[in-house]
Amino acid sequence: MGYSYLNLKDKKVLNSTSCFKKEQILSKNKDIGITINYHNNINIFNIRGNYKISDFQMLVNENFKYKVPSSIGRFNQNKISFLLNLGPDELLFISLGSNLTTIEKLEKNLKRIQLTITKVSDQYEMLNLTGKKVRWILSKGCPINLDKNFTVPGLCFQTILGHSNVILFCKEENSFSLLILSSYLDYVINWLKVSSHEHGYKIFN
Amino acid sequence: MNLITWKKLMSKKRIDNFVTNYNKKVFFNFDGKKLSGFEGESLASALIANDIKLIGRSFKYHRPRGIMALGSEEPNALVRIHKNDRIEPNIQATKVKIFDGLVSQSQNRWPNLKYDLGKVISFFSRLLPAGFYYKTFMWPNFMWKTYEYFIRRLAGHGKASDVHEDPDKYEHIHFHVDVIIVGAGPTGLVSTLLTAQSGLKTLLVDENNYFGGCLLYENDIKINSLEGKVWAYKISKKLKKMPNVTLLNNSTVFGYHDHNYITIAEECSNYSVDEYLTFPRQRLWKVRAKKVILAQGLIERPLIMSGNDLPGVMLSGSVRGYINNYGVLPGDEVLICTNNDDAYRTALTLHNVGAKVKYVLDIRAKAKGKIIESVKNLGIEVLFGYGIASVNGNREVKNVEIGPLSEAGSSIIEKTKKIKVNLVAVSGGWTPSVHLFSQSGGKLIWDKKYFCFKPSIHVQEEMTIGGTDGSFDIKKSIDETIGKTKTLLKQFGIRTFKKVNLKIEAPSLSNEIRSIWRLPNEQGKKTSDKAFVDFQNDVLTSDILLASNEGYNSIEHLKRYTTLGMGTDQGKTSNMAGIGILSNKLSKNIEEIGTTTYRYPYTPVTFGTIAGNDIKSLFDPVRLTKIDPWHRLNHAKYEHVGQWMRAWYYPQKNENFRDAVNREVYNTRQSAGILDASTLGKIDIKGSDVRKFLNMIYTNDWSSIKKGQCKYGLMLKEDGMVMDDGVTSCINDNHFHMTTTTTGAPVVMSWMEEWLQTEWPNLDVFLTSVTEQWSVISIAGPKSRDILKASNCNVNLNEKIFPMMTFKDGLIDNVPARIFRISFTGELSYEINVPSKHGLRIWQKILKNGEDFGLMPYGTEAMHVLRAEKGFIIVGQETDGSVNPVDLGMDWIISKKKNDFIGKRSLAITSSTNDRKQLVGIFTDDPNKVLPEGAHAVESSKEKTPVKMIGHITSSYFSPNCNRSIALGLIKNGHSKFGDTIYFPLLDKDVVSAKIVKPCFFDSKGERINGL
Repeated sequence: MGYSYLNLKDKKVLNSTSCFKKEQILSKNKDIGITINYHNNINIFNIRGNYKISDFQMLVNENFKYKVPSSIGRFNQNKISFLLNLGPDELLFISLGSNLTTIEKLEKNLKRIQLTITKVSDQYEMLNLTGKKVRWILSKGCPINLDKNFTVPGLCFQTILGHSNVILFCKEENSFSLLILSSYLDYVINWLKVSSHEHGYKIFN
Repeated sequence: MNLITWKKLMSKKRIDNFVTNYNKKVFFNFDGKKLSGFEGESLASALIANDIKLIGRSFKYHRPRGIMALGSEEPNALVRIHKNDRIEPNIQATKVKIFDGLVSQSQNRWPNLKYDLGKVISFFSRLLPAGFYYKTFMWPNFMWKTYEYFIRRLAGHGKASDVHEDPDKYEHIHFHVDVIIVGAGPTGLVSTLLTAQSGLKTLLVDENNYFGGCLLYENDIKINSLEGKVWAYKISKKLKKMPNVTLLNNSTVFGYHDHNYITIAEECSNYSVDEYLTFPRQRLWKVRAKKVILAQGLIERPLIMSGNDLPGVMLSGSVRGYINNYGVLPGDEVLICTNNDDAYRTALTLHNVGAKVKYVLDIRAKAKGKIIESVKNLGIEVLFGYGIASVNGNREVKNVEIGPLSEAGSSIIEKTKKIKVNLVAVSGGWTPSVHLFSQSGGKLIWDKKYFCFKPSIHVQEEMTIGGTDGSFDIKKSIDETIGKTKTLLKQFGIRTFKKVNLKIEAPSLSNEIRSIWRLPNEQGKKTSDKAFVDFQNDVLTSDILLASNEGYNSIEHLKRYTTLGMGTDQGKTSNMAGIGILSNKLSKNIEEIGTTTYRYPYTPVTFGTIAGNDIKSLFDPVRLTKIDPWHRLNHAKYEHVGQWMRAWYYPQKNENFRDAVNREVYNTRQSAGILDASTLGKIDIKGSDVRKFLNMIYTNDWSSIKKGQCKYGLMLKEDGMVMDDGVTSCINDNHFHMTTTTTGAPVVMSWMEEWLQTEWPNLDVFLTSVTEQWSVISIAGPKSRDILKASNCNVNLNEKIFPMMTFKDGLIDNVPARIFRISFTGELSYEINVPSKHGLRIWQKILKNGEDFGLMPYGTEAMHVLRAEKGFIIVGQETDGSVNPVDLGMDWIISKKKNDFIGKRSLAITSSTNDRKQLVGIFTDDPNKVLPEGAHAVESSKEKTPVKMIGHITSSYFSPNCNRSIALGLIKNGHSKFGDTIYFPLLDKDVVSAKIVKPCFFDSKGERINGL
């Protein structure tokens, strides 16, 4: 029996298999409360160990021009990367785009300074959420305090959204990034659509 | 309704858009009658304005019932409301705002409200006292099902919608605040103003549409020379403009949980909103507050006397409220009966709007005060020491019989006098609304002065103010509130406060109250003792006395026996009277009786609100692999495995389930099969102590595993029972890749993290979940090596170079791949791990290339059959938390060398006990008979019940490769019973005989695993 195959070079076919489709729903006041943007070219690394050692601090500073975030639940960033402090011995490095050279260099050096690094780029999907209703919409499924005076830019959380584990980080007052385990992407997109419906939403890739 | 009064009330000057909008007429329907009202008013108010007093029939006796109260304490006026398909039963008419097109119906009546056949029940009321169900329907046993049928048809109030899908949208919201204030009466507003002005994030919640609480219902309170409701309106407007304040109206705090976690049900829109699919109708707020201020005020108590449930008997304060808030008059010939000063305010209000107050009966022997003099000066006759003997009427109040009370208040000492009235306003005192305080764990104390329970010991970060705190004087309670709120602000480190100058003008009322929990009937006169305590559940005074006579003297027992306070109103108007009557009966002080436990919810909450948007596809996440689009394209049938959706089987043409599975199983052993195994749990383990760690986690020895090798491991819990299994591979010296079962992945990950963080923090081991990082494609079957070769794989697949239980890194079609030589089928097999973004492409590549070799996809069902043919276990199927490795015949995996591993000690104990159920193979005597999984095994086919169960079937399939049914089962001492015949009595009365065999049905020598 011949099986059917998807033409993975055809963008239309690829789009048809993705839960992430361009879509726009306006609110009653013709407004868009939240814009959901999908990041499809990211590299993510889980870094474990004592990140407080000076060698590592220097390494990050040299390569990315920012410091290792000093406390848990904070992150630092430049235009192409984020470094999230997730725990006493855990960092998450997110690189936008496919500039692997810096990361490979980092990985090599990390081994030298006895920190472990695990590539988890395919483990997660990343969404950018912006808009004036973003905090309200996230509050519908996220139990952390998303008040703009509490969750300020530079904070990150390992939390839940609906029934999905997520890593949420606040980049600007009305701009968040959301890391989702890739198998939950359909659920989270669906959840965001249902929760944003009355406020209006726009999805683009 | 008196038309002159109605017009007079309507002409009263009101604030624009405040409560009732007299410019906007609204048409609604009650029991088929088209009626009109005004926007903003409640259904109860509109029904009163339309002179409708009979609203429904009571729960048990089908007594006529009308409106008694003003808000959420209303026990009687329950209606069914709907618009199109949207139906909601048991809604308090006092809580529904009318809108154009609202359809409301009375409940619990047939064929109609006026002539309800169910009323017949009340003729037999003497036969139906509290507990009659328990006494009557106990015998004969076999009749219970018949009784039940009728009882269930008679039980309940309103009828739910026949359409079982709620069309409305609901949602939840998480909210964090410094202070939440529950109740927007005068004290709540003052407290909110103080916290808000101090910059604290403040949430004010009130169940009404407008803030002001009692100020909305009174016209004799002035604050800073403004009418109370105007002051409240101005304050709420001011608060609304403050960015640190959130105001929630039409919202009820229904639960006060641990750690200041508060749940609120918000009515976002009523049925008038047509975009119900877009906008939530109700929203559940989940609030975490640093401090909670409870300012819910007081609830008025009715007086208990014969006929007190007739439509037209209302709470005195509520009568006043309908006049002052909505401008409607519930009756124009009124008798007031009270045990306190407050009802005199009602007399004044009624008089002012032109109603005839015939008498004020004050059950106190005497009372003095300015307000009493004011009433007397209007020519209203006040009778001290008088009570109502009975309220009479058919479907509404026609007259009352009154008479003087004895000194003890236990009898009426003279012949009663009949007074013609159409409204009876009663006041039996006031009870602080302590439901939420009590839910918070706070303890109550009996206040002898005011005859009520009030807060005493506070448990959480909370304070009570105003009426809730047992304060009855508005001036005093506002002063107290200011003081208390300032103390609270100091706890936030706030030392300077804005001054709050409030000049309050309110009637001066005395504190004197006389408590007669049940007003007596006329001495010697035979009456039908219908004195209701709980109006919603039809609990009579006589029910309480009977329960006590039968030994239910604890208030908690009495509550359950009589159902006192167990209605949807949570006994707001009935509990105190019930406690009082019991205390009189037992000649005990009320504090000795105590209260029942206040439970959530304070007011009824819809299932929709509780569920929020966790319905349909959002009820539970469905996890999909990256290869899933191919499964869908090829019409795979799915099964749920945990939250994952896995391809179960792939039917071709007209194949049924069994044919498809048989083909997949047979084909895999004949040529090859391909399985999407991406859902397997995968954990990346790094660090210099990984071997030590694995030695503790697994039962076998991991000290000598070398780079490139894979090993099967079994994890036990501390009790020595099997928890999970999987293959762990040594990527390099300090780097391992662990696989777990699909459903066990999160449990194993967090369990191992717990051990590392709590027991072995000294170990240099780090875990990272990589389940979704890798797509796993498993090829199994004699031709799998050829297929892999043909798939542009750069790894040398020679058996000697790449033997069983090893892995190689390489490229497949230029994609980096980690290929494992491990097998769950007993066939030559490769588990190919590729970064999941390449998973779909590589799956298609291998399958396309493999089609010429006869490669076919197989689903989870075929996988189960294949592994069962080999006798491989599945944790969770062959194990159930009470099975150890010895039971499974896997002694070989328990290291004798190791000093320790998790579960070792317990395993030593359990594995030495006798009569354990052990894993065996089962061959049914009829090879075509497939036993159902879970079937119980017995030793003899002729045993009488109760039959001794000796085990059960854990897995059972038809094996196309063995051409017969096969099964695995846990049988008591099974390892010593090979060859024995056992029996399986099935639900269809069939008894299947079977033999116990070794648990491996195919290729018992394991020759096929190398594909040689």
